[in-house]
Amino acid sequence: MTAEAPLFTQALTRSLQPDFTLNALQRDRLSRSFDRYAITFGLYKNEIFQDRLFPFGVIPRLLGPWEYDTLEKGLKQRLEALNLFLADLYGARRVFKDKIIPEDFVLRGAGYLKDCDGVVPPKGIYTHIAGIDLVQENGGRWVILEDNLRVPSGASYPLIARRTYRSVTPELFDTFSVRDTRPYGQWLRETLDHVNCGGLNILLSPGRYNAAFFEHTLLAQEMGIRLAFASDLSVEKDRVWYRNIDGEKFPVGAIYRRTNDEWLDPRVFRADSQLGIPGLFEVYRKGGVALLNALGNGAADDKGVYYFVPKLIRYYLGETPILDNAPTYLAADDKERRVILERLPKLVIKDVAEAGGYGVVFGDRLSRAEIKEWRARIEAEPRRFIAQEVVDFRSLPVLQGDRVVYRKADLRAFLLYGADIRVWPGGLTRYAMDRGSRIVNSSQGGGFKDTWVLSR
Amino acid sequence: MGVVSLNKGQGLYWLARYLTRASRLSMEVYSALDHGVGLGRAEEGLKAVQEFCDRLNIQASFPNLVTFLQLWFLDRRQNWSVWHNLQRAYDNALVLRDILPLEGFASLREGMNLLDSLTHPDLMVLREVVQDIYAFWGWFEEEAETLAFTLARFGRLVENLDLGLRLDWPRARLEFWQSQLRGLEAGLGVPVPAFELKLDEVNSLFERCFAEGS
Repeated sequence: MTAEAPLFTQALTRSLQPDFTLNALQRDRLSRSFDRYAITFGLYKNEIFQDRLFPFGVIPRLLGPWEYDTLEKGLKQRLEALNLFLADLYGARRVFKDKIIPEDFVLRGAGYLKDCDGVVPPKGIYTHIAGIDLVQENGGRWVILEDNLRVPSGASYPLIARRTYRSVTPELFDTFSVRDTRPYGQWLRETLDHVNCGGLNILLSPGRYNAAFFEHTLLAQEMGIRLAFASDLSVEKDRVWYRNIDGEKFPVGAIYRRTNDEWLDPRVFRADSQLGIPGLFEVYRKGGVALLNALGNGAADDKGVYYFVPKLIRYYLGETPILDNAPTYLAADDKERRVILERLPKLVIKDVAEAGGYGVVFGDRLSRAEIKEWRARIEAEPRRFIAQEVVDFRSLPVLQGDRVVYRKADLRAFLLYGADIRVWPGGLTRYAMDRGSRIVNSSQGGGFKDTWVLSR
Repeated sequence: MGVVSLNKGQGLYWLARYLTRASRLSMEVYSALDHGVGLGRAEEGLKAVQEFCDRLNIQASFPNLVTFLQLWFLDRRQNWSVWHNLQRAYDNALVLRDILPLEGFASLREGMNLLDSLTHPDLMVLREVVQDIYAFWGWFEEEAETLAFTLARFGRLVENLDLGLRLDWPRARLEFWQSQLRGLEAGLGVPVPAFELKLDEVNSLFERCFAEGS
């Protein structure tokens, strides 16, 4: 089964988008709002931090209700399986005994944390906040490109974009009946409350020089919780404490951390981390605080493990995957590696440990010498790479001045796992800045659109 | 009362101080200029602002009024320029975005953008920058939590006293701010120690209040 939408919804979506016109004043106001609110995404160029405005495509992506329903079911299914996999990996490891996925393949992955073996997070939830990247093929089928289960970012941008649409172009909502995305902050808060071990909810940010610092501040505000830096928190008596300005200490029950695993606790992970809280891991291990997302999730969103997710869905849920992966070859598998080496100029190579559009190489852009180099590299480190068929995914309309141009776009869908799994009826649509480019990542200069899920 | 960490508390305090400095110094210069130029000669205006700078212990001399205005408002190298003070305030605001009202932050951003866009000191536009600062305070005072509000108020009063002491403002005005500062105890949740109207005592007040927290 695929996520193909009924034909008339596709036709509706296609026909509406190019006609989505805004007058010059509205366009100007929408764009100005982004400057006014400093909606930024930080980039490091030559090791210098540049807090730049996140390019905003004013024409939203439209998703028909049937299309969204299928996505919702498929994404929930996928997240449930991934959560079960993490519980199994750090617990009984049935999945290896049953030979669903090779044990050493997972355990050699950079995202696997041995320290987390036997650690059960509150309520057994590992993947509280997931950002799953999909693209829509020209035929309409949605395919999954990537699972992000560590620190997925991006929900704040469509959230604030929608607020801007409501104030600048309220009349559009007469024409389009759009699902409300405003509850995201409340859902996020409920997700934290669900696993809170008693005490404050905190958003832990690495600081203002993090690419998504704008998002940290907005989400903390939307949830009505404190944004903290590591120096605001300390560990004592098996608890994490937030220290008030007058020295009073408040216990912390849940931390929505926007800091990667390796920086979180210098006593256990990187000793040189200034962004972590010494002793945090031990409190977490003993169940004194919930971390969202759980530590060690990188083992499940590794691009190599991605290859096995359809198998994991069948194994844990006994179901057929609703959403397909992009056709992928695993370099660690001898047979598939031969296919990769042979067809390299026609494939996309991905470094499994990289994210944000880094470590992605299109075979058709490589010179003969480079192809040779890549073949040697893949043979030397097969666990490090996967290769995918080039997916001819859909381009969406983007306004450039007064002209409508088409750019390749993906969709990051956000899922929250608390009392149940909820798929946010919106999402971050990212588009490539240049014609023909397939790199849509924000960290690579891509722009974004709001995603409007139509309710009828 | 609310929960604000020492980091955030210091950020609010300094945000308030830099913003107050930027707006007060803008308005004081308008006033000094107006007075000097009102006497009938541009040199009087220059003399007035030079005297003003001396009182603030700013060691710079200006060949003419145009140069003064350019440096005073827009120079990015001088730590006493309005641009510099507003930029420092904005840097603090960026880190405090989660506790600042969205529209308040936007007002500040617009003021900063406006100042950044100027290549020469257009006094009417500079007034708009000051208006953006006051718009920020309007949003902040309407929407901020009690503790955040009080910490910012603390910073504003300390900065007013600092400038007032340096510029010899009327004693009654300084005493009024002094009593206002002592009156912040309830909002801060810590005692505000007695202090004399002296620069060092005024400027160390925040640290004395929150020594334990640090």
